[in-house]
This record gives sequence, structure tokens and C-alpha cells, in this order.
Amino acid sequence: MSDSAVSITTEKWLSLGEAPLIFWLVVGAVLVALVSFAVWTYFSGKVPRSITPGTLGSLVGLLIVWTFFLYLVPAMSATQVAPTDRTWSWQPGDVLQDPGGSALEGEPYRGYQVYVANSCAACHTLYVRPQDLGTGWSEGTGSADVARAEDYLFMPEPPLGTQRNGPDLSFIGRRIADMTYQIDHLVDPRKYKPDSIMPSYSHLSERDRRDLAAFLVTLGNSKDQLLQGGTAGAGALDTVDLDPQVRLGAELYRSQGCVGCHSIDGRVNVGPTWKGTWGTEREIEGGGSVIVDAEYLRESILKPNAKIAKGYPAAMPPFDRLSDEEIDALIAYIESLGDGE
Amino acid sequence: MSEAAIQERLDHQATHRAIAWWLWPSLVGLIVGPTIGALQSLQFVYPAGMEWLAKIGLSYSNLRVMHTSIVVYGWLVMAFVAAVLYVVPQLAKRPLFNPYVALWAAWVYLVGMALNLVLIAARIPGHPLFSVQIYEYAEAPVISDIFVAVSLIMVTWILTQTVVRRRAELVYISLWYLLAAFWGTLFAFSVINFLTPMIPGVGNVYLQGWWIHNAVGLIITPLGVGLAYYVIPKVTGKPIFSHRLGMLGFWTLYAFYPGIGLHHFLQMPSPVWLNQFAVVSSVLLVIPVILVVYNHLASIKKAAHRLIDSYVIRFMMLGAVYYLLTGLQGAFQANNLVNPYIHFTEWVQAHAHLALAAGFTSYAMGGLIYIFPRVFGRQIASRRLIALSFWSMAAVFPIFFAFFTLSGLTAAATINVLGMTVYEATPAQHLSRLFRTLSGSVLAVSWWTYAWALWRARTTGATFAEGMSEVASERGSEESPDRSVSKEGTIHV
Repeated sequence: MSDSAVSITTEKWLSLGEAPLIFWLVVGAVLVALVSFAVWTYFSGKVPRSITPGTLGSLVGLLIVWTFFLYLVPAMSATQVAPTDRTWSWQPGDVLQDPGGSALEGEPYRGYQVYVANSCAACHTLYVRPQDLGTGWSEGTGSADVARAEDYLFMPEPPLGTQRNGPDLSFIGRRIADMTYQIDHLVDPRKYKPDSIMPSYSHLSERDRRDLAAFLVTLGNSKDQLLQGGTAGAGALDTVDLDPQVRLGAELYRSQGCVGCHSIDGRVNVGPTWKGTWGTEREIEGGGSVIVDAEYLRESILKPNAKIAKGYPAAMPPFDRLSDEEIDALIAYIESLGDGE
Repeated sequence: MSEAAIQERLDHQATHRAIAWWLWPSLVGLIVGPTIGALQSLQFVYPAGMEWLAKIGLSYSNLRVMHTSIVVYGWLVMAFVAAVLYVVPQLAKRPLFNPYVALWAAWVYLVGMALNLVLIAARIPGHPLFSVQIYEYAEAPVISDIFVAVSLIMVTWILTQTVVRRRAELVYISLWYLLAAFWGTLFAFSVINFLTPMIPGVGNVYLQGWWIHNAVGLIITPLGVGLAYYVIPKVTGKPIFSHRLGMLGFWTLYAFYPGIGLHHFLQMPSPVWLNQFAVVSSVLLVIPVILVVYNHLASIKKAAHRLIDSYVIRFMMLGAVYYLLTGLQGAFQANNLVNPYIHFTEWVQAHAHLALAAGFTSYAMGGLIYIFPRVFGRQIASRRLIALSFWSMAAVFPIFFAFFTLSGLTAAATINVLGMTVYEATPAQHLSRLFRTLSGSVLAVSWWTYAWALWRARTTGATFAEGMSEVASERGSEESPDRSVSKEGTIHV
């Protein structure tokens, strides 16, 4: 998919040789103590059958506390990394306008708190590991996206997660920078992804949903760019074109959830990108090929499984609820996104 | 009757009341926790049919936190405290120091648990006291943690005082584990709930890592093992196999366990030496596990018939076997070769169920069967119900575990090797998840029968006297005298 694993040991403080001297001393001391205890009981034939609560407490406490400090020292120093462009730096009260073009707005920081309060981390992680690259875990990410300490500086309790029943979300905002879609998906995940096992979050208040969607949109996007009203992602192009039919198509692209699976900037998502696809020749699953034209697109919208683009899953639901006029608008929108030249 | 003797009898009764207040809620936890687990697992099988959960304000992720909170803090911790309140005075050869504190501690603890469940359902974002926290196994909001911590301090204080003022000459190894468990619990619980929130950024996650395994390592493990060290020699009437192994097992547990937690976050932006410390510790952890389990299994060599006639010993041995498997599997899963392949898959959750739902639940079930007749004075009337729950633990759990594992391995293979996304891999996991729900539901029902058997025994059991079997035979308790227990009931130290 993308480049193979990169080393995260490029940051100096991450390497094994950087372990403090006290670490090795204590490791040595513990091992020596255990071995000599074993040897002593073996050769002396004495086994301590009892211990005073005070001695017991001191020894057990020592063992627990020293490992705790072993974790605490790097934990303190990790917070002293300098923030960079990629740091998620939203503050309480910051407001995000939907970069997808709708009138929605939300507070990403509060959205992060909603994410925590609803234990989204039970199924989603927020970090890309080096070995994720080239596997199915790393949809739409590359080696530059591997998590770094500075990414989380402004999250009080980063919800990194220990389980992936759903995809990693650290770049979900770059893939789908559209609050309309995100809210829709939270309320009814199976509307666009029929096999999804995600629960519905229709019980969140409207404000919680808006803020959570705003938080998701910020993930993987630069804060400055978002505040200026644009991203490199979806929705940015539709302000340029003034043709009313194309504009209707762009609105449908968001409101019907096409944005969930088809990018308009060339990125691979669940389905093929729409950028530069018009008029090109496309290989079909099971052999053969078609030209991407109005006839093929109409068929794909109404009967998605008739011809599956090679290399993509048959995951698209039929959109027969759309009127002819709306389908024409979508086709016009796809045409406006370029013809592969 | 002297004044001191009267006081001692009152204390004895108060101790029994306190044990009841820890024991019965723990059985509620045993019923509710796994049942929630079975219900929420349907989310993986039939997600469209689970949308009603959102309508009542609880989605999968909210239920998932309730499930872990209830099984860990509602069932295991409460059941172990109930057993420990009985065991520690026996070993110290004196009544529990200030048993009324244990009674109050139970009420404070239950208030904390109730607050926790209410606030999980309330889902308040961003409040310092009332919000669900991100820390796995410590999701309870801070206000609930304060109650739980106060309760734990109370219990720790009276148990420590009971041992300090003991009339027994020696401090038996069971007490080492039980005391160390409470001290370690207090420290770990305070660190994650009251100190970790002060450290922002990725450092916060290192401490999440430190905590996540110590929830099991410093709280549940020593409680379960310490209880087994008491119950096994008591029921077999024979001393423990080897005290040297016992000592080594204890100290290696505390040397290796507290540092292993970061293996849940390997390859996050954290120092490599700390990762490797966690991995090496995880592998070394097989030493205490093998020592303890060998010691326990060898202890019943000369009393093997107890495996047939004593359900206490059956549960304890089953627990030992599952604990051994957990320890070996943990070392396997944590090492650098295997971890990248299985990380984030359900095989890890299957491992957690092997430890908590199989190993330590067996220990707790056996421990409660042992203390129940001695505290409430009644035999457990229905051998059939106890047999049902035992054989379910022995025969159905492995099936449940196998399907859980299969689902995780399917995800690992499809996503890591075939390069499919999580979304594409989901249909491939469907069947194993369906059978996981089915077998898990059978397990949940068997736990209801266990709780029901104890609840019924409260009124219907025959009067118990030391020397009788804890679980009555079907033909009546008088016909099953427990011949092998020495009349004095002493522990051979």
C-alpha cells in the first residue's frame, strides 16, 4: 500500500541506550537479590516461614514504587517535547466551522471530551504504529503519519486505546472532512456502510454530536488551515465552481454520504476517488473494463454491484432514492472534477 | 461470661454481617456483569438489532465500561474482600479488628459503585468529578473513586491491624499475599485516579500503561492466589507442598509484575527501553505463575480424592490451571515477535477473559463456597447447581475462549497479512463472534445458577458443622461427612 515500516528511534530520547543509569542499577539489584535469595535458601536449608508486616510492607512497597518511578520519569519528560505543526492544539472554546461547507459548527475540544465520556476508545485507537503501514490498519496513511509524542501535547488524557474493533481514527478528519457526514454516520452507521458493526449514537444530544463531529474532523488536519475555512480534503473545491447543477452535485456528495467512501482529491478510500476519473478506462472485477461516462456512473449509482471497480470491495448500497435530476447533478459534479489529464 | 468474651462474640457477629454485605452484592455483580457482556456481544453479531440500546441511552461503548466495572469491582473485588474478611482473622487467630469498619466500608463501596454506574450512563463530558475517565479498568468518575478509595483504606486498615495484633505466632504466606494485595491496590488505585490526571500528553498514556496491568497484577492476582494458599491446605488437611517455592513465587511476582503494563501500548511514541523492560518483565512473569501453580497442584497429591468430593478444591484447581494458561499465554502474546501481529485484536480480550472470567472467577467461586457455610452456618444445599456451574466453567469456558480467540486471529490474518481494512474483515469474523455470544450466554446462565445456589442455601441449607462437606450431597448432608479434614482444622505451616 505505502512505504514499509519506518524507525521511530530517530528521536534521540527513544533509544535503548538512553535509559538512565539508575534503571540498569535497579534492574541489576533486583536480579542479584532474587538469585542470592534462591541460592541462600537452597544451601542454608532455611526457609523464612514468617515476616513482620512492617518488613513485608517495606519490601513490597519498594518493588512497586520503583517500577512506578521507572514509568513516571519518562512520562514527565515526554510532556516537555516542543509542539509542532502536527500537534493537536485545540483549546477549550475554539470553534470550528464545518470545512465540508455546511452551516454547522462545533467545539473540537469539547468533542474530545465527548469522545472520552462515551468510551469511544473501547473500539477505536488514536495512533498509527510503524508496522501498521502496508497493512489494513493504515487506511489512507503513510510513514509521515506514524504517531509522535508531540501529537498529544494538548490532550490532557490522550485516548490512545488498546483495542481496534473499528478503524484507527487519528486521520479520520483528513479522509472525511465533513461534519454533515460525520453526524449522519454517528446516528446511523449502517446508512452508508451496510456491514458496519458500530453502534448508533443517536442518544447523544445535538450539541454533543456536533462537537464530536468537529473533533473527528480536526483529526489529521492542520488547525490553521481549518480555521481559514479549508482543508486539503473534501468540500474545498465546491466554492470554486458556480454552475448550479455542479453545486447541487457537490451538496449531494456531502448530504448523501458519498464523501464517506469517495475522495475528491485522489486519495484511496473505501471506493475509488472521483478526482480525474471522468472519461478514463476502468478495470472491472472479474475481467474487462469500462469507460467512466454518464451511462456507467448512472448504473453504478443505481446498481452498484453490477460492475465493481477492480481492487475495491462490493460495499456500496444502491442509491435508488435519488431522482434523475439529482443523479445528473452528481454526474456533472464528477465530470467537473477533471478527466485524468 | 467475661466482658471481653461478650465483646468478642459481638465482634464475631459484626464480622459476619460485614461479610454478608460484601458477599451478596458480589453475587449481584456475578449475575449482572457477565449478562451485560453477553448482551453487548450481540453488537458484533446483529448490530442493526441493537439500535434500541441507543434509544435507552446506552450504546455498546457505555455498556462495555459497565461490564468491566461490574465484573472487576462488583464481582471479583467484592467477593475476594468477603472471603478475606473471614480468612485473615482465622490466620491471625483473633477476631477481626473493629469489624464495624468493614461493614461501613461495604456501604461506602456500594455508594461508589452506584455512582459509577449512574455516571457512566449520564456520559457527562469534561467534568473533573463526574466524567467517565479514559483509563481502562479505572473508568469510574473521580467522585466514585473517592468513595471506593475511602472504603479500601478502611478495609486495609482493619486487616493490617488484625495482623499486627495477631495471636498467631507466624505470618503465614497467605497473609503475605492478602496484605500486599490491599497495600498495592491502594497505591495503584490512587496513582491512576488521583495522580495520573495531572500529567497531560503522551506521558499520561505511559501511566495508563502502568496501571492497566496492575489492576490485575496488584489487586486481583494476589487476592486470588492468597485465598488459594489458605483454602487448599485447609480442605486437604495437608501442608502446602513447598514453602521455598511459595517464597520464590511471592517475591518474583512482586519483582516482575508491576512493570509489565506498557506491553499494551507497544510501538506508541514511548522510550524503547521502557517498552523492552515491560516485555522482558512480561516474559519473566511465567516464573511466579509456574511456581505458584506447581505448588498448588502438588499440594493435593496426597489428598487427590478431594478433587472428587470437594467442590472447593475442584474450583481452586480449575483456577490454578486457568491461571497457568493465562501466565503462559501472556508471556507469548507480549513478546516482540507475536505482539505486532495480534495487538488490537480480540485475542487480547480473550486472554483477559481467560485470566478474570476463568482463572480468578474460579478462585473466587471456590473461596465463597468455602467461607459460606462457615459464616452463615449452613451447607450449600444443591450439589446439582454447583456441579452445573463447575462443569460450565470447565467445559463451556474453553469453547467460549476458542471462538473469542478465533475472532481475534481472523482479524490479525485478514488485516495484517491480506491487507484488508477493519470494515472488510468484519464479515469474516461474524461466525466466530456468533458462537462466542452463544457459548458466553451459557456461561452467564451458569453463573446465575451459582448465585442462586448460594442465595437459596441461606435459608434451605442444613446446619453446618466443621468436618462436613461445604456442598451437600443430593441424598442429604448427614450422609456426606468430610472425613479428611483434621478435627482441629489447623493449617500446617
